[in-house]
Amino acid sequence: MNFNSKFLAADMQQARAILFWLTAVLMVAIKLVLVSDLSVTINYFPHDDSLYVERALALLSGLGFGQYDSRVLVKYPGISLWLAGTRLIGLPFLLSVNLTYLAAGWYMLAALLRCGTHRGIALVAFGFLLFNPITFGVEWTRVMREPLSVGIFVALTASMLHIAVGMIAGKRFWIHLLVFSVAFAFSLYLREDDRLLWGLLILFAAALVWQAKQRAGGWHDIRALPLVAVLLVPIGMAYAYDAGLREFTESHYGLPILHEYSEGEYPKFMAALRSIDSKKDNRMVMVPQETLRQLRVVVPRFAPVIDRLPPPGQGTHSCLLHGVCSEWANGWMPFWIRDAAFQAGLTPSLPAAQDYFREVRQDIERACESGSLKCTSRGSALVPPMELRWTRAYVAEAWRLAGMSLWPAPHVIEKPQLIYDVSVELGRKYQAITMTERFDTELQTNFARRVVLPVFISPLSGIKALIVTPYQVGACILMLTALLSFAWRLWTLDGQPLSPLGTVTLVVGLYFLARFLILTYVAVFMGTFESRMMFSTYTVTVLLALPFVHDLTSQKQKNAQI
Amino acid sequence: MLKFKSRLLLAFQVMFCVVTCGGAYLANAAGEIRIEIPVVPSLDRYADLLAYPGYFSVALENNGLSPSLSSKLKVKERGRVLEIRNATLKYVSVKGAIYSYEAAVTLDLGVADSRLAFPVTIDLSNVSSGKVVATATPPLANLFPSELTDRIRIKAGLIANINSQQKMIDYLDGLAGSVPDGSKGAAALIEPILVDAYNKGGGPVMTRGHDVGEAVPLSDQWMLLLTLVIWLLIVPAALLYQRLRARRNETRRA
Repeated sequence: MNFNSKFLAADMQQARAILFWLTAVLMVAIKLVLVSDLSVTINYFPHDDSLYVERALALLSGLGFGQYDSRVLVKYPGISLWLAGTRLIGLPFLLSVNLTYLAAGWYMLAALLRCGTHRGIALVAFGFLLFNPITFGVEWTRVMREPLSVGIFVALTASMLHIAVGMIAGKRFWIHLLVFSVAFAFSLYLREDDRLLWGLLILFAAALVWQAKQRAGGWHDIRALPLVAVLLVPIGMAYAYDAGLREFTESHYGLPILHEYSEGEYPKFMAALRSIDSKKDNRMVMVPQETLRQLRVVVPRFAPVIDRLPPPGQGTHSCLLHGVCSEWANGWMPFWIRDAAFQAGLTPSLPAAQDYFREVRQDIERACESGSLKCTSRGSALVPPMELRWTRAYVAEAWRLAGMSLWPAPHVIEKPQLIYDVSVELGRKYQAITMTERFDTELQTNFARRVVLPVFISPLSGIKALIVTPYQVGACILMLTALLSFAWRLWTLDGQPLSPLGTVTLVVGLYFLARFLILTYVAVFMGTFESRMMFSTYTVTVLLALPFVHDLTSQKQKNAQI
Repeated sequence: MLKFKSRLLLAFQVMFCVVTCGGAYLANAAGEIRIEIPVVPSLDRYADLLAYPGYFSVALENNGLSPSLSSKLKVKERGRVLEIRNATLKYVSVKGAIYSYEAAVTLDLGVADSRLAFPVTIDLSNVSSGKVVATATPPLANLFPSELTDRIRIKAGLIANINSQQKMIDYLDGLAGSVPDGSKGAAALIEPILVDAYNKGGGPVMTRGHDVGEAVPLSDQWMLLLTLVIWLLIVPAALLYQRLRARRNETRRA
């Protein structure tokens, strides 16, 4: 009798496991059908989408990131490397982004199960990941860094969970450490704000040390090697990747500079411009027109650039998007100056650009010292230091960013786009690199032509827009519940060790908080961000919220039983 | 019935591109800049607005499609002339489907101004097949560098925007439908276009020159600072103190 019931129980368990994985596979299949009619959105954004594509094309042609100009090194190279890499192996860009996201989700599902999360809960969390409306939106289909960054961050979080569980169980976790290290190193040169991942690494290592100490009951019995490895392997990989990239840019452009906005002379030059006193006192304007008029006289070397700068005005993007109409806001002026210097023939190469911006900076500094210009030091980086008088702006930006964190706008695509506002030449470049099938040169050059071939529309296409509101409401409730649960946990289980899931969620939560505060600070000076800045935060928070709440409540029950 | 619109928009922008860039195109014939622009065939309904480049540019502005984002447009001679900074476009005549203009740019040579004028035509004969041809004949056009002509072509490609054209058609259809006596042609649309421009323009409440992000004195923010100090420092510190005290009491009792 006992023998039979044991077998029956084992069979039931196996059947449940099979049912679980079959359900997960079915969910992935539904997701793939939902996104099957999306294609790459082709845009002419010379500082974003089209820059990445052009650089990838140059990479594949053996020309570095392309001929040097004012734009080629203003964004990190990660996305162009990804584009070139996926094209090299014949994988369409959008598919590669979706596969990365799905694979990361699957990896996370396995991690949640290892953490002891109930299967039903894990499946719901996986569903929240799969049917995230941002993955049906226009930002997801553009050639941008955010979608890739989201998938990689999910993988990064999942690998942290695997490592944390592996450490507690005393099992090997080298594969997961490798995943973590690769994702970490690659992310560092994907988005500029991903440099903050250094903070995540430090937080994670500190949390593991704290966890190990609590388990061992002191410092003496801690196994140091795995902890040191968790810190050193990602650092080593990041430095190796960094060295490789710098070697590459030095061989093609003459200097090991990857990002001209944060390295070399340009940020110092902008800081020197900003130091010139002006009647215009606006946090979003670091180079007012009045300063330019003064500089035109005092620093003749800079006059050809000033003459080429576009005038501010009512119809400019600076006015329409940021409400700065009598000047150019900081989101544009640094780009205009670089473009104008290049057009004037003053910065034909990277070394020449560095020399030119250094010389102008030194001219400004000399003029400040001699009294020709009135100057006040306002930091040496591209973004100025925070001042107390910008508190109101900081709070306003924080409020906006918090709204985006809880409720980002997904801009779901409801109708497939067939004609794009780009030249045929650029469209063909997109086609060559992203392997998108939806670019018809005939339609593009003749609006009288009718679509001949049928346009594929997913049979589930109508569902995408219907998902958005219920998803957002559910996700918002989940995130707030997780936050309240954590506060309650702090209050009631003071001193109790956190589970691996709790530890990693806490690490990720602290990282998100730090990122949020820093992005808010940047937004004070650079203008309000779009909600895509918070996609990675949103996705991972929604994904972890339910398992985290479940983990806390189950831990509370266990403690009550003890 | 009125015809066309966005073509004109494209054509104007291309022409001003040509004018302001000093511009040129890969000409088959010597001295000619020729650009083919894809258009939505239904624009043909409003083609006679091409005879009023000034009013047509106002209609574009009404839809956020101004030919110049940085300069104010000037409309002269009852809409027959459009002026943007130092460039002008003047309607001359129409023969069949070919509209002729005189484009001019005034150059400041330091001691005196010099006016450079040249003919521009817009050929609408292939509108039904989705193409309009703009041709400019500036002096020495074949000496322009190919990069410049390529840039003009790319710019023209960007302007040839189906969404903008459709937006303009919808707008003009709406205006045509609102004409009370059912009059047809460009003349019937001019008044609604100008009234719409007036209604969309700024009034006395519009504050010019006041940008977002201007500095606010610290003294105006003390209430906010106080609120932040209370909620971010004092309240958490009080809660922490209470918690630590409760824990100490529990330890003593144990």
